[in-house]
Amino acid sequence: MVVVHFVENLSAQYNSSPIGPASREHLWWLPVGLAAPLFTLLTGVSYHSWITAQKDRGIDDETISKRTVRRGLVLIGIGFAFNIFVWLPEDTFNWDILTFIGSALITLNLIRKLPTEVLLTGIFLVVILSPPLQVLSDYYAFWSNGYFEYDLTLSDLVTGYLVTGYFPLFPWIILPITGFIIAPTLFTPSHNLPHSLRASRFLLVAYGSVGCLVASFALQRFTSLPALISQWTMFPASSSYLLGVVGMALLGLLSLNIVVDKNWKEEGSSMTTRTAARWCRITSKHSLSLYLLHHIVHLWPLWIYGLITIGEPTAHWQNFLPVIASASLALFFCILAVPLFVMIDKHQLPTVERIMRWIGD
Amino acid sequence: MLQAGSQRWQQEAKSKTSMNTFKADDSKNVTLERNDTASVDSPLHRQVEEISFQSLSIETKAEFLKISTDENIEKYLNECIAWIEAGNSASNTITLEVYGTLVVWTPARMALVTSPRNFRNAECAVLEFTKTAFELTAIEHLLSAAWEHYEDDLPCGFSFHNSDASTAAALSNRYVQAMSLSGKISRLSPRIHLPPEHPPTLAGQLGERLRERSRLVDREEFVDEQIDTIIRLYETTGQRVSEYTIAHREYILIWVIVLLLGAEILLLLTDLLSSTGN
Repeated sequence: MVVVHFVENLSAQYNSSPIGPASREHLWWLPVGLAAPLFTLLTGVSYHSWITAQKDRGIDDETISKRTVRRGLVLIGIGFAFNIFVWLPEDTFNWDILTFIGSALITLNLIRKLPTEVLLTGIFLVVILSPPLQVLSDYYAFWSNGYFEYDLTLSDLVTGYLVTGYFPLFPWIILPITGFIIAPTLFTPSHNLPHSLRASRFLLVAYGSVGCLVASFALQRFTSLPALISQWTMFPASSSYLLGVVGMALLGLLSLNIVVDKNWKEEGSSMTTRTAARWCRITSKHSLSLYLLHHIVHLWPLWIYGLITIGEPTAHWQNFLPVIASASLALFFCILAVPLFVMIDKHQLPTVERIMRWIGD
Repeated sequence: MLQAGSQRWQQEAKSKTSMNTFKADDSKNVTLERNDTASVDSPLHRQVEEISFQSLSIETKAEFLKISTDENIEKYLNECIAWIEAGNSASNTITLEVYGTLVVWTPARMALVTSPRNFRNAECAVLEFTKTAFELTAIEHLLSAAWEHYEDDLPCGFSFHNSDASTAAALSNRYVQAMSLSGKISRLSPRIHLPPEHPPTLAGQLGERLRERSRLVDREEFVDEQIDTIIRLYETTGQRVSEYTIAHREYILIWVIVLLLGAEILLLLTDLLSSTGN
């Protein structure tokens, strides 16, 4: 996430050439492009874990719903504030990932008691409906310059929220729902399940993810299908892209769960595993702060520099540093971020996550 | 009938120390030696057999002291009681003297003293009773295990809202167990309620008195009532689970219809919005 944003905002020019210095079409660039699908999938997973923890603490259903809605609204509010203060006011309604995750939380609260079969039908319908919706709403008219542009009209705002924004409900909502469905399969306490059943559940997830990847690959082979279905594009999220990222995100989650989650507590675990687990715990605990902070540290200087030199804040956007420099800056930020969050935890300093909990809970 | 029972016992009762002559070492410090006072022409035969019964899923073992003699059985009473008591059985001892036959019975050890002429029939009667008693005890044990879940499962008899498939499977399993116990008690019942034989025989009298003294009829009645109560719960639970399953399917169907209608509305709305925007 950090690398992709540093590189894309400071260096990448997608429109200058079909294959730019760091393009989503490059295979080696794929892992960093997986950040958004992985985060949205984890929203569903962590929401399920959160509900389980709340129930274990004896919190009643109504309170859980209230807390969820409050947290969702807080995230939407933070998302709008982020759009205004970081992306500047003209991008207030670009429907970025924070507003999406906030909406996803509220949606998950609405559907959390529905049977899995209904949720699967819903996912299927969203996947099927998204390409026609993108056609009906004339998706590419909003993306003529490689980024989302809209008019301040009700129809554009609603269409942007539903279909044409950066992370619209259609089709991105399938990722948190998939995470929500998959969470009990992967994260049922081991003492509640016999070992054979746990293994078979892991196999089921593995088969599901491989199936998604194969289906994605097959769709990409059918070039006769519309581009919204067969081409690997993130904006718009095509059907092949969706299947592919769902498969990759599930495989990533499964492998990290097996390699890190299951092993770090064991006495014989290696130093690498324990360090990885510690690093994951710190970053996941502060993921929202990390998201906001890394944008602020590279975009605000960019806007200020643009304002000072040319008089237009976005003058140097995607055209400021070579890829290697922006990627190095991103890595440097990551190295600094972990000790920073350790220090924040040590001194009990307020973070966005704490504020959200304070308002939500 | 007794002969048939005898044959059955020959098949079912597994003898581990068959035909071992009884010795002081076998009797766990109880001295029971060949009766020196017995007359020379009076045949005396002693034997301790370890018998095992496969009652339901529990294998029960007991020791059976058999003394075949024409002498007065009174002489053996104290010895038999001492041997039985050495078996550390917690149960009350049943002692019977019928037609010159002595039976001392506990679930762990039993002793039979009778004349060689009646020995075979008396042995079959004791073994028949022992098997029936063991089976009833095994059912009582299983029943007490079933009671452990009874209170927890009571709410499910009124309403079932648990989507967890394992709960339904557990309830179904308990229903099967209760029905299985009911079937076993039904099959055991004719052996407990055997009508008195006419004309009376030694074996018939032994069986009848042993059943009476061990209160098999009352125990069978109590077990039957308890199983009925448990079955009643799991029958209603089964109905609730079945109703829940049907309602759950309908619920899914309704939601799928709602989703389809929602999809249609969404398509119309998007079309409307895009045309409004243009």
